[in-house]
Amino acid sequence: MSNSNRQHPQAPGKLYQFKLVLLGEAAVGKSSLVLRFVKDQFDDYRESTIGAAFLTQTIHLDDNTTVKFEIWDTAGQERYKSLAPMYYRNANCAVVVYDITQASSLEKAKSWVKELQRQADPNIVIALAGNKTDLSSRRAIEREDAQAYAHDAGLLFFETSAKTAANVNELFTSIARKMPLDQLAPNSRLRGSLLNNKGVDLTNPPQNNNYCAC
Amino acid sequence: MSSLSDNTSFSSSSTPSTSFLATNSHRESLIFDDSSSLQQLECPICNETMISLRQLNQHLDDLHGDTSVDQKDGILNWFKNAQSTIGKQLSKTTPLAKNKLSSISKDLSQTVISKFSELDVGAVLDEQPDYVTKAHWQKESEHDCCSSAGCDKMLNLKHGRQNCRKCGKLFCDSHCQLQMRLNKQAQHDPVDGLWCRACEDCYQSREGYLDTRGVVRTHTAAFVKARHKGLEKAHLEGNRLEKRLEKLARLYATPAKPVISGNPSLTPPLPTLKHRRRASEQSIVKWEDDASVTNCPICGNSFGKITNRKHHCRLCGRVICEKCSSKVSLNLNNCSSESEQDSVGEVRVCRECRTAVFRHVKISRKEYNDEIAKQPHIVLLYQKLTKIRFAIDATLPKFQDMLDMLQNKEIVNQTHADYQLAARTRKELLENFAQFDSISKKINALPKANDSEKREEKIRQQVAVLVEQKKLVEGYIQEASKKRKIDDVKTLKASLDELEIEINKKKKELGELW
Repeated sequence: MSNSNRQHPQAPGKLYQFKLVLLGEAAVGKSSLVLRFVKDQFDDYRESTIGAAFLTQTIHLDDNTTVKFEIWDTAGQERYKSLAPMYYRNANCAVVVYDITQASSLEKAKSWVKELQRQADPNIVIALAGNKTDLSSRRAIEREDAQAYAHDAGLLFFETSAKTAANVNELFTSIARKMPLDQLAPNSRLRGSLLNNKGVDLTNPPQNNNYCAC
Repeated sequence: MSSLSDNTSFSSSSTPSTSFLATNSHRESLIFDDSSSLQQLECPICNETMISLRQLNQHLDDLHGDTSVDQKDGILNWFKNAQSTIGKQLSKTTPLAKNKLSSISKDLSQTVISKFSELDVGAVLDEQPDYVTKAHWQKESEHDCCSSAGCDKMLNLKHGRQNCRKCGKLFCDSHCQLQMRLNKQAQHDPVDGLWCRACEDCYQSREGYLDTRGVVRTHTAAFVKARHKGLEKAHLEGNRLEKRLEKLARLYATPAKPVISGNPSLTPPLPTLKHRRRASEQSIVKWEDDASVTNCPICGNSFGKITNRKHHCRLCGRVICEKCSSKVSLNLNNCSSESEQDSVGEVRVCRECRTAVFRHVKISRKEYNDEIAKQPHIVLLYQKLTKIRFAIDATLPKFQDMLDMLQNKEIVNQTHADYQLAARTRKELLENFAQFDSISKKINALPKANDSEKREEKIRQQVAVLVEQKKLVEGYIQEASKKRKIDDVKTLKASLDELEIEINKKKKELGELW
């Protein structure tokens, strides 16, 4: 435990770093979700992502638990499909996004979930997000159907809207809560946390090392 | 010369005056501060007073660049005068320095004068047969300011005084430092012009400035000429060898007879066909003596008695090894065709002769053209596609304008012809669109490459994606390190390493495919 986290300088407590990957069909709103989560912005005309974009966001779960997400927002286009394995391979959590107005996007999401369950870390936390609830008039996928699937597959499920910010923060917060924080062993896949321990802590008073080096 | 050496004291400050003498060949630019000792500084040719030696140097370069023989004496006299002037002034200094300096001055003046005498005026004239015109130069006055916008420095000893060779205006030193090529009329001539001092405005307004393509000079003619020489030689050689090949073919076609020599009793009749052939082959080209060759002239390997034996090329007669030679079938009708039909026999030919003989056969102009014309279907389609695209790109804005015009000028002289023209353009556009569509569909429907090619293409695309991502991540790293997000940099660097590993893996896979 003590190895897998470090004391946060400002807020006393434990800082956890998680690698999160976003997957899903093209144009379902992966980047918009992240943008809403990280910068609380929304862009009506967003260009399609190239490769995989990197963003980070820190959230405070409670007074002494802080979670930092290192988010890899992958491109949904077929061309970049080969990049995804690189990023989900050692991810701690994944958000698979579909578009509630596009029936095909849920199928794609399902195939992503299957791939993750087969190829990714067995302990990975997967969340299914049905995006674009602001367009509920054009809904093509019923909430119940998706929820039933998510329940069967053991996924977190949220219907979100990056445009109205509905459920976006809830989605990420519940992922953070679902992470097995207490069971994280020192050799867990928390990359970076181990290294952070070795960093120089400027708040620490210098230790009394007044013996010579010979 | 002796009078010069009598002129004793010479200070180290006489160096600038030597620099003046070295006008055309090499110029030193030393700033001479002690102007009091050189009050008599004037041009030896036109007697114009100068403020500094540097200016005198430039003045001589600019106005008397084409110094001819008769002026040489004038300069020499001036040098002597200057020497004595300085000498007189320095004679007031300490006797110790005087002694030291006298020896230096002797050496110096001798070398200077001998150098100057050596100066071949003819050569100088050849080097600079003409100079850029100075007719347009701004006349110098007492209170000149630098013409560069925002400079306004007084043109004096400190800031210098320069004419831009192109516009002729006066500038201070720092605003007239650029060089551009000008012809005699002081116009920009990037090819044959002389390098001249120019101001920033002229430099930047010249043609081709900031033009990334620069000045274009075609060397095609020279290349064609140079290539022609080599080609002709190769052609001649090829023809010669081809003649020999023809002879050989005829030789093989006719039943071999013993070589009729002048004195049959001296040459014993050759017993076998092989031997007789060999003799007649040698009558076409003389064979190189075996004993004189130890290494193959083409590959350099040494010959042996059992391995790597010696062979003779039947076309050039050289001794070559097995590897560097090959058998060529002889053909009566068309000797230079490599076909096996109507072959009357084979002869050993070295690699070099083979390429020389068959080179023009292999790459005849016609076949070359055919080769060029044999473009893959997709290329032809794509060319068509781009053509149509250009046509669309050209007509679309025109059509748009037409529409705007027709809409705006609702009442004013709208003729039937206008409408007709617009309709025609529209039809044309629509046709082009349809064609574009059909061609792109055709390209899409082209048969896919075979499996291995497909796989290769897939991996190639993956590599491209990975490289793209690598660039992206590098960008993120820069951004993160700018913002001092050390944790992020660490994560990103790890990701970068992973990407690199992946790229190498894919590249290796590609290598295996090849």
